[in-house]
Amino acid sequence: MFDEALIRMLHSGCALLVGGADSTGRPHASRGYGLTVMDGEPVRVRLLVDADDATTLDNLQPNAPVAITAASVPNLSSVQLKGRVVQLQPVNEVDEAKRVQCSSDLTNDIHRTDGDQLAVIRPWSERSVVACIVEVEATFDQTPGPSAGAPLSAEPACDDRVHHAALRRCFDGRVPAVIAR
Amino acid sequence: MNAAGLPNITYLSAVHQVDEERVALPNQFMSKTSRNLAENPRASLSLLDPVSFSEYRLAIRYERTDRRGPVFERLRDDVDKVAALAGMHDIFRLRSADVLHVEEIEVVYEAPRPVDDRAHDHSMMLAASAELASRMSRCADLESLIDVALAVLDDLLGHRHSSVMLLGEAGTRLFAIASHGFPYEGVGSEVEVGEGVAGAAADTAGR
Repeated sequence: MFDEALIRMLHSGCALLVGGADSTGRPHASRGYGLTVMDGEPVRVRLLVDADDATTLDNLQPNAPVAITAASVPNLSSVQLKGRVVQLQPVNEVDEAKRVQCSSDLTNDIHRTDGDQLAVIRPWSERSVVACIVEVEATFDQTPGPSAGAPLSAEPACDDRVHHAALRRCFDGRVPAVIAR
Repeated sequence: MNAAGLPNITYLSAVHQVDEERVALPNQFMSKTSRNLAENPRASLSLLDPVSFSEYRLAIRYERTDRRGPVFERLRDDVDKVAALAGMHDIFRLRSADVLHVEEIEVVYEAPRPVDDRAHDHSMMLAASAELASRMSRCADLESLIDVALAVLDDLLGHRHSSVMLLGEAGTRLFAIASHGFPYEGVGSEVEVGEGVAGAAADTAGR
């Protein structure tokens, strides 16, 4: 699901947005302050979120759906990860180093691209953070243009309802069965 | 959020304030966002002041979609300017303007007020504008008038780079007759109306 180029982008100082919702469906947008792609399958990421944003922390409960958009400031290339929360964890020394690196990379990119003063940008990017482990189920191209919203992965996330409907059509003989990968 | 409760989050090129209670969001490629708003009218908008970096979060609720009219036209102007700045004029095309009601505003980060940023101080700007007019009124010819105007924009208002461009007779191209602050002499350079920042500004003014 994640190739080297995507991992490199996610590990850089890209601008991160985090979308979640409460149990009533009320959405809540916030920012991310660093992201690390973890080893192993299924793909999990360790996302750093604002420790002072009580609504985000309430929403990011185990198994809650979450969307993360990462955008490169210099060229606007963007990707959206969708998945579910595994758990929130207190940050460790590695997380704190990651936060500092991402904040520095992001503010330097904004400074180089838009000309804003670092003294203005840096205070905005400094936050206390909490780590949120997310299991990624699908990735989408979010780069401005006609392909925005298209699935990135070779094997798009399976919608169970579609899957079962297709199977039923096969069993009914309406659609010849094919070998599925 | 779609009907199944799955969130979708994306960056926007511009947000336009419609009135005291509403904002308009551009729909360029956001078919997923539009679909979600049709299923669940509630959304959360994170807004960043591009100068101070103050950040706000708005709880908003979908009301309607405009495909023509004043809200659509003003949002299209905003999107065109952002597209010109990003060099993506051919990609950023406004399809419609989604109008949403603002239900709640939260201050996420309030930037300290800049001490030495005169552009933020309205009284200083008024005084600088008066000084600009005063100095321009003392100019005897067009050449000195333009030179003085561009120099004062730099000295008093902090616009380090500026140029004056006039529309050609055919009305399709702009020609630079003066420039200030650039490492090269920009006089005589040309740009198509609608292209780049200057071209987009001329195009907007001509509508």
